[in-house]
Amino acid sequence: MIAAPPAAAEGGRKLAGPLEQFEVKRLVPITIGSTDASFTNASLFMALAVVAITVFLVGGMRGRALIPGRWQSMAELSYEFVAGMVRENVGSKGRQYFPLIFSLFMFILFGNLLGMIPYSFTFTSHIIVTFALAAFVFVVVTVVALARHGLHFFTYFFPQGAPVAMAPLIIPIEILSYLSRPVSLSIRLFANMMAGHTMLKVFAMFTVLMGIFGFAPLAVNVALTGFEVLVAVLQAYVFTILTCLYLHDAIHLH
Amino acid sequence: MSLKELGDRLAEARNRQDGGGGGGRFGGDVPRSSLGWAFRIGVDLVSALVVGVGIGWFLDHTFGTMPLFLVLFFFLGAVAGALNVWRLVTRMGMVSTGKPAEQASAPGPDDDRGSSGRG
Repeated sequence: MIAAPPAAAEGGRKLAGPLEQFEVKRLVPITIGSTDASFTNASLFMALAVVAITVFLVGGMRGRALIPGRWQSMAELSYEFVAGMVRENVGSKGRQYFPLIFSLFMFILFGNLLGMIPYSFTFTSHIIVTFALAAFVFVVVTVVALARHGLHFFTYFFPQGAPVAMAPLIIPIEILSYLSRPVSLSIRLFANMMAGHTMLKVFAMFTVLMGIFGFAPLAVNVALTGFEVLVAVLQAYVFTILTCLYLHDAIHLH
Repeated sequence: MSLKELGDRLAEARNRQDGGGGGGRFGGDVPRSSLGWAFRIGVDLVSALVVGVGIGWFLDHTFGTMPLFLVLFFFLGAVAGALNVWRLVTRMGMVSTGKPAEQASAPGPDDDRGSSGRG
């Protein structure tokens, strides 16, 4: 629904608002007890992302050629990219968390990129989705830190060398700073995706409304579409690299 | 080539890949635009405040002490946000914390700590 010109040109139909593209629609209504567990367009695109990732990786590696073709190169490149990121930012101890980081990166990347296809839905533009991802990362990182360092983990909240008298002030601040991680992680991804897609829609509306002069916003939209593809990849990268940094902190403490 | 030889070479290659200590480098120096910087710093600043106010409001709501914890955690959240930004900025090498004593002893015309507008 994003890059496509609104179908309002032929009169009568109302122009879709720039935020209507984010509406979650029930495709298959399911109710479990009193909980609404419907299969929505968000669920559909999450499932599509998983299917696309599986096809991309499994299909690409099917040949297992020593000299990779284009498709296999792309699959290997994505693997190498995340592997390098984990090695550089977490260290060799982070290798066991590679599957987690890789899944996270591919899911967000494909979610962002699928959203760039006209008429599709961007599930990463919903804060509840990005917050669920970030909260999952937060829980995993905290559990890893607790498992590796036990109670020693709590010294993380009190920097070495600080005067003990400052503890009542420093510890709450450090805990708040730690708790703000999932919030900033989720807001960053969600706000980037939502702002970009809203902007695309607004310029698409200008194109329709301005008639013959619509070429100017159309040109802007072409540039914005390119920019949005960049943002889609960059934000997946930023989310993943911050996960790596948090994991690094959890493994090494300070 | 024997299997053992192959194993040795594999181990050697893995060691090389780890780059010695393999402790991981601290800080993700993502090349970013200034807009990206501004956005990231802004989000980091506000998110801690949001968490602080949320916790404060929740505690007040639970104990019925309406403004007390809200005010307290508002300020704690604000400080935590500033701390987030400080960590981000020092980690990215925007602030020179390396040799503060040396710089303080020689505050020449090149001392750029106070001139935020120049960068």
